Amino acid sequence: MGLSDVWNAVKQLASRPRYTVIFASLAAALMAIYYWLFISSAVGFLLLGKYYTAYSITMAVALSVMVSMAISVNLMAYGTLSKGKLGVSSIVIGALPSACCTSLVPALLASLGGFSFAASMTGKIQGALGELAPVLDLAAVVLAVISLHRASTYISRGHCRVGGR
Amino acid sequence: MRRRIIIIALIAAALIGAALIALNLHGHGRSHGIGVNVGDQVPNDWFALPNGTIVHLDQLRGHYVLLYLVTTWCDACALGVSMLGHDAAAYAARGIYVVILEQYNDLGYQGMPITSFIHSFAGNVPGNFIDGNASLQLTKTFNPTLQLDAYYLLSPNGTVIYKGFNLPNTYGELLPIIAKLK
Repeated sequence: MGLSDVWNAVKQLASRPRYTVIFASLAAALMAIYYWLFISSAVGFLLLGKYYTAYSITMAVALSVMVSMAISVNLMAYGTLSKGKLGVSSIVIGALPSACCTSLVPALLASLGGFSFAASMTGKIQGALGELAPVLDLAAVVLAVISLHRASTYISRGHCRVGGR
Repeated sequence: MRRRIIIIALIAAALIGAALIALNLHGHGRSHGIGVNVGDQVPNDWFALPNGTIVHLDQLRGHYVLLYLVTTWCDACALGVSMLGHDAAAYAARGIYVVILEQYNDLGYQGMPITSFIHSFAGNVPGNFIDGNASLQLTKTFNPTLQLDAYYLLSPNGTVIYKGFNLPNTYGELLPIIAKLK
C-alpha cells in the first residue's frame, strides 16, 4: 500500500513505451510552460527575493513531473482520465499564480463595469492569486500526488487496463 | 475511444490556454495599444506624495522622467523596482527623475505602502527617486488596460519617448534608449 503502490505503478509506467512517451511529452511541455510563466511573472519574488528563480525552477519541475505522472498513471489504470480529474485540474491550479499577472482579469472586469470598477476590483482577484501563489502551487502538487496514489492503488489491486503497450 | 479524444482535447486546450496566458502576459512588452503613445504630450494628471502633497506632471518639466506605475502586491513590480534601485546611481548621474507610483488604490488590493515597497526592494534611493500614489485619472491615462505595471520615459518637454509594461522583461530594451539621452 501507499508508496510501494506508487513505486510499482511508476515501474509499470517505465516498462510501457506508450505511457512513457505520454509522460515524457507531457512533462517536457508542462515544464517549459510553467517555467516560462513563473520566471516571466517573477512568481515568488515578493516572498523569496533573489531566490525566486530557484523557486520557479523547483516548482516547474515538481509540478510538471507530478502532474504528468498522475495523468499517465491514470491513463494506464483506467484507460481514461474520467477518474483522474484531480490530475488534470492540478494543471490549471498550478498555472493560476501566473494568471494573476495577465490582463485577462481587468479586461473582463472593465467590460462588465467600466474602468473605475475594474480599477477597484482587479486587485482583489489578481492580488489574492498572487499572494496565494506558493499555496496554489503546493495544492496543485498535492492534488497530483493524490491522483497518482489513487490510480496506483487501483493498479496494485489487479485492476489494470489490458493492452496499451 | 470518444472519451479518450475528449480527454486529449482537454489536455491540449489546457496547454494552449497556458501558452495563451503566457503570450498575453508578456507579448513583446511594448504595449503599443495602451495609454498615451510615443510622441504624444502627456496630460497634466496628478499624483500625491506620501505626505499628501499633490504633484502635477507639469511640475516635472525640464527633466527626463521615468514614470513607473506599479501595484505593491505584484512580484514583477517588486523585481522592476529592484532593477531600478540597482541602477539608481546611473539615473542620478544623468539627472533622470524616477517617479514610482502606486496605481490608484493599488487596484483594489492593498499591498505595502509605496514608500516601504521601494525601500524594501530598491534599498536607499537617491533624491531623484520620487514615490507617490497615482490618481484615478493618471492611472486611467497611463494604464487604461490595468497592467500590473506600466512605464513611460518622458522628455523634458513632457512628450513620451518610450513606453512599455512588465519592466523586468523589457528593461533590456529601455536601457539603450536611456543611454542615448543627452
